[in-house]
Amino acid sequence: MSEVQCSHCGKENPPDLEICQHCQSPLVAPQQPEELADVPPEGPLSELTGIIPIESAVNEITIPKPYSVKVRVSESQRANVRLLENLTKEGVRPPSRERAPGVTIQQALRILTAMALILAISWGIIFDTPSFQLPSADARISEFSEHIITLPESAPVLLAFEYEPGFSSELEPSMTIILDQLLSRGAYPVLVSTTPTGVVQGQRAIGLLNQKAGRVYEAPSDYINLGYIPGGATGLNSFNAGIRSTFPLEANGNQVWALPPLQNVNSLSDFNLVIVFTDSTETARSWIEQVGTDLQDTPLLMVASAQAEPLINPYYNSDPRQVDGLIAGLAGGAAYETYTGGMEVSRPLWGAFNMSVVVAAGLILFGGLVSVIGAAYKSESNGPSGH
Amino acid sequence: MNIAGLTLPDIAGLLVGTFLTLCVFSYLLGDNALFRLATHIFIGVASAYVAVTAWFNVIWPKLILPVLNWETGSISILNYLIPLLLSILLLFKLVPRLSTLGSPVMAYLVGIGAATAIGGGVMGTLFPQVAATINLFDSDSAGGGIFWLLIIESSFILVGTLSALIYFHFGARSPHGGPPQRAIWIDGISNIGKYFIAVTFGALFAGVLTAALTALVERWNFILSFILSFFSWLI
Repeated sequence: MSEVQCSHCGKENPPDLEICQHCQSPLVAPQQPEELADVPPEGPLSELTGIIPIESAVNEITIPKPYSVKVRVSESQRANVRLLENLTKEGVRPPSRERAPGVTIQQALRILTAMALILAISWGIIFDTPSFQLPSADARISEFSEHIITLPESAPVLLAFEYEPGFSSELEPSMTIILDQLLSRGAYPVLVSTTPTGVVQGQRAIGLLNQKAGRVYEAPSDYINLGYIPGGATGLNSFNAGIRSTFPLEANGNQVWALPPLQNVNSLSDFNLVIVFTDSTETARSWIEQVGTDLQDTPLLMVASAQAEPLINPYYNSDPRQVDGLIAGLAGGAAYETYTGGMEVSRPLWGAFNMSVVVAAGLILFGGLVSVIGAAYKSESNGPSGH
Repeated sequence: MNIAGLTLPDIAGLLVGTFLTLCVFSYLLGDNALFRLATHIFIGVASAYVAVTAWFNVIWPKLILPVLNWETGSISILNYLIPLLLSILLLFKLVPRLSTLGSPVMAYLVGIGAATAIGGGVMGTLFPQVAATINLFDSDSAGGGIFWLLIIESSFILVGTLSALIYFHFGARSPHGGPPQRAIWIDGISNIGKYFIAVTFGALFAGVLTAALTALVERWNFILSFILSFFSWLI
């Protein structure tokens, strides 16, 4: 048989192919003149010429070839899929209103874990454990403090409060000391936030400092709270592009930029220092990406929660630095307290915190050991054949 | 904490704070009415607070007040009227029949958001971090130190970075019609990357656990101090 020419690309194909091997278009065999001249012998179309008999079309209908839709996966991939299925099943299961009789093992374990932690914390609070001394300050802490103590008087400093109330216990120790350092040196803090709760956190921080240090810092003579920057990263970008247009007026309608310490501030690089208090990597990244690149000589410092520290560290350790100073978690705050030697803010929590960390680590280790022993016992009882 | 020196609103605040904290802790015993009460109060208060903040920090001072105080010759009033119009159009998203009126505004928001995130990510993270990884081998910028230690440390970080990146390469081919497989060298390197990623997850988990423990310590310290000072005040 002769080769079939593709009507789409014009190239030749072997006669047994149904699809062009060059362009994958369906191949139509060349029609023979005698076939076109076929006349149906009978029926309503018997007198018509040049039509295709319906029998040939019907006869060509065949059951399509079965193609496998199974994904070829390895055994380990299968195990991962099973694990994910189990996890999602747990997640979407609606809470049952019917209580199981008695206490389940899971509930008992949860209560026991909580009791162990609460006992350890109570012990740490009531009996101030002397073995847990505040950590000593390292170069990171001294570098951070250096940025603050070298500030000139009336220097405008931008403070961003980017954390939820749940993280205040972690950030407040270092924040209170930093605020005290700034205000006692005559710097002029300008408070902002891209989270709604940050606005009140900034105000609370000043109140806490007034209460702990016995001082009376008031707005707008000692500091100003500009408030909330809406729009997340986009809002921050707009704030960076034009701080005066982003905050034309204070919340009560007063002119902000007519205040003496802010008269010469036209962009973020006119601040002497920018400090971000944050509990999340996303907000930290927003500040680094949207603001940090335009700060020029103004240092960008961060006081972060321990949960955000691992992902902020690369920006601090990079060369050149994208974050010029970093204090993280209660441990960072405690080290800063040791270095400055001022107020005792993290000291009341430090012993209890260490006790809780020791107990939590012990519980994780114990749980891991129980799992390993359980798995070994199970495999042994199943026998070497796995039955 | 000294209860004797506190005012009545302070004591009320302490009592409410202690009660709500205990309500949240009651979840240890399983889902219950007290826990649900605390979460409902939290959601209600948080929503109300966000609404008030949006009004007093954004809508009133940045949108309405400038229009009311607008004077001829100052900034064009269009600077405020256009955002006001777009905000009103966005409200139409709440009405299913008219929601298409808000779609252009939504598209504008999504476009601006994506452009900001991508621009920031590339210029603020990707390029500087790639440069930082390259600069690791620059002994001048590393500030001296033992040369071979610098090389070992830098190589370790470089291997970690590259192998973790290669772990997320999922391109595969089907040799001889068999199941799709990654190239052997990619598979080998991604196995190394797996361990670096595991260590990163470990560090992140430790950070989250530490943050949660600090919150627990502070709350329990609050409750314990309140109880102790309350009893000492009674006695």
